[in-house]
Amino acid sequence: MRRKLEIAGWILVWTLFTLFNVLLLTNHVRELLWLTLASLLPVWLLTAVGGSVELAALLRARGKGGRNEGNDGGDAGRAGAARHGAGDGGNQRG
Amino acid sequence: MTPLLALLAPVSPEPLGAAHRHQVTLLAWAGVVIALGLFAWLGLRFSRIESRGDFLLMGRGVGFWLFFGAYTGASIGGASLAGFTGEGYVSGISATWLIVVSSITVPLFAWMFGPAINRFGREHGAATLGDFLAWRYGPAIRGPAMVLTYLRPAFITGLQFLAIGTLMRAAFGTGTATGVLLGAGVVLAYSALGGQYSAITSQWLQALLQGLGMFVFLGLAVSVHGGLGAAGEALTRDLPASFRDVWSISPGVLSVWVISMGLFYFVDPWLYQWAYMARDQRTSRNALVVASVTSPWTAVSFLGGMLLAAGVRTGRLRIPDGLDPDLVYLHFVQDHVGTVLAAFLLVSFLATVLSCASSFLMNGATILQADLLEPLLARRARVGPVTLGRIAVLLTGLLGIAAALWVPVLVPLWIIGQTIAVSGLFWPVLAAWVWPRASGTAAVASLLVGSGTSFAWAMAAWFARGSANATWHGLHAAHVGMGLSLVVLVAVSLTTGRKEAR
Repeated sequence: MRRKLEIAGWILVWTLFTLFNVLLLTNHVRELLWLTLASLLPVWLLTAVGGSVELAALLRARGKGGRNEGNDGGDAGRAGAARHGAGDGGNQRG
Repeated sequence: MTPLLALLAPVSPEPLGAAHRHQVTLLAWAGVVIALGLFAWLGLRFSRIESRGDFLLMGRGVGFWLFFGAYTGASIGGASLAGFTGEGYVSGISATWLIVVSSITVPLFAWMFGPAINRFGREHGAATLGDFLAWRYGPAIRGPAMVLTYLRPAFITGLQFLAIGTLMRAAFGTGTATGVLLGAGVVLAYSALGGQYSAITSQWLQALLQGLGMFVFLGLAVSVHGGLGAAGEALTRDLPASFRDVWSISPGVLSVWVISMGLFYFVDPWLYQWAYMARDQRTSRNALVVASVTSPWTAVSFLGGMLLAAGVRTGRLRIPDGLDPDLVYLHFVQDHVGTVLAAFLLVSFLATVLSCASSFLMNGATILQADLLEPLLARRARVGPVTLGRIAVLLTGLLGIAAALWVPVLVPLWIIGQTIAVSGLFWPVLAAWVWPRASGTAAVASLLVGSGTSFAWAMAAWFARGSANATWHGLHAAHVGMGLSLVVLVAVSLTTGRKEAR
């Protein structure tokens, strides 16, 4: 499901990009105005909803007293960084 | 008129007068207080920062939608809103190339390098472009790279502080200096408190305000003509042909924009920081690509400016002759738009400027901390990394305030700074990725020669033509700097590269 959503998202993204640039480069200013007005609110809504969910998760994680554990403290990259004596935890720089 | 446009109306063809302006100002102040309260609340929620990575990079945990929103908010500043509206008002759609070139190069950068930069950052604790260059070429390149990469965010931070000062003077009646200090104080407070956590989350929130404001602005510009159909007709009928011809731009100007507003993004320290901050490698690529190719807000200012110009030409709107193009947006909002929407648009404008300011402030602070303060202080000072980060934020903020108050030519400085940076950095950074034979000595020499000649050429153009950004003998500073930088990189690498090859 997630994969299908991602593919649909990419199709939408590149369609919008292609349409926008074709209209712009062929001087179809009127149609460019329509496309811009039509796409503003859907993109705004997606940003608002998606960002709210992520912000709520972030605030919950911080409220529990931890950092952004799921993304930072626990990933393999940080483990690798620790092995190399680098990472973000202290003054030491890689 | 559609019901939606009826809701957005009224727009008055004539200026609404001093009493109206006063009402707008009062209401906008209330909105500003509420908005600042929200940002302060976010700053406080994230004030308990534990590590360098948390403070500078939000723990390398920025998710897709926060990334998309915050990046969009940060990449559209005062110049993109009021400045591009003025460009559309004065010269039409051809200035859109400024954003078209970056909407091609930024996704290309993200697709090619985003995931690798993200992985590199996690594996080596890297936070800046200088970290990457020092790892690839050795520590000698960090200093010169720091100088080139730090000035741009510092100048852009100053520009945004100045934009806040201008907005506060024009819309709220304060002095410019008071506005600069007030705006800078707010941004510094929440950035120093919560670091990148409060900067990113505030930018996302500011992007929502900004996006809604730009939608309302475009709707109001459409309503000047009575509806969407009539507005479309006005664009094609009432403006000179050159206004709607995107190709009415000289090839020389376009080539400069391709370099300074396009190729630059391959070596942009700000983009490197975004790539480091993403939650994972996929987010680093996807969010940056999507944010730079599908953000519909980028066209709003140009189209809005063109609609206002068409309104003036047909007598549907009265904007004074000779008004500074940068003030067309503010004039329209304050003098022609109804009280509630005008107040909302002013708050939204403030959010637009704040989001850009905090992003570049944090970028400058990160470069200052990672590429200067930490190597300089090493283990001599007993200052923790978060405290050092807060000091870097304050120092960068103070430089931004000084630039805003005492440097009167910030926009040309920003553009020429970007030109000098791309001239010195482009080939060494690209070679770091794709040419194993490139040596450290060659990279340092290429960086110094590229940026030095670019700077010298810009100064010569300034004396000869009156603008550092002008061409001289048919060539721009970027053409000369980048050309020589490439020659030096190849020549010195071929003589030293085998010995130094890793």
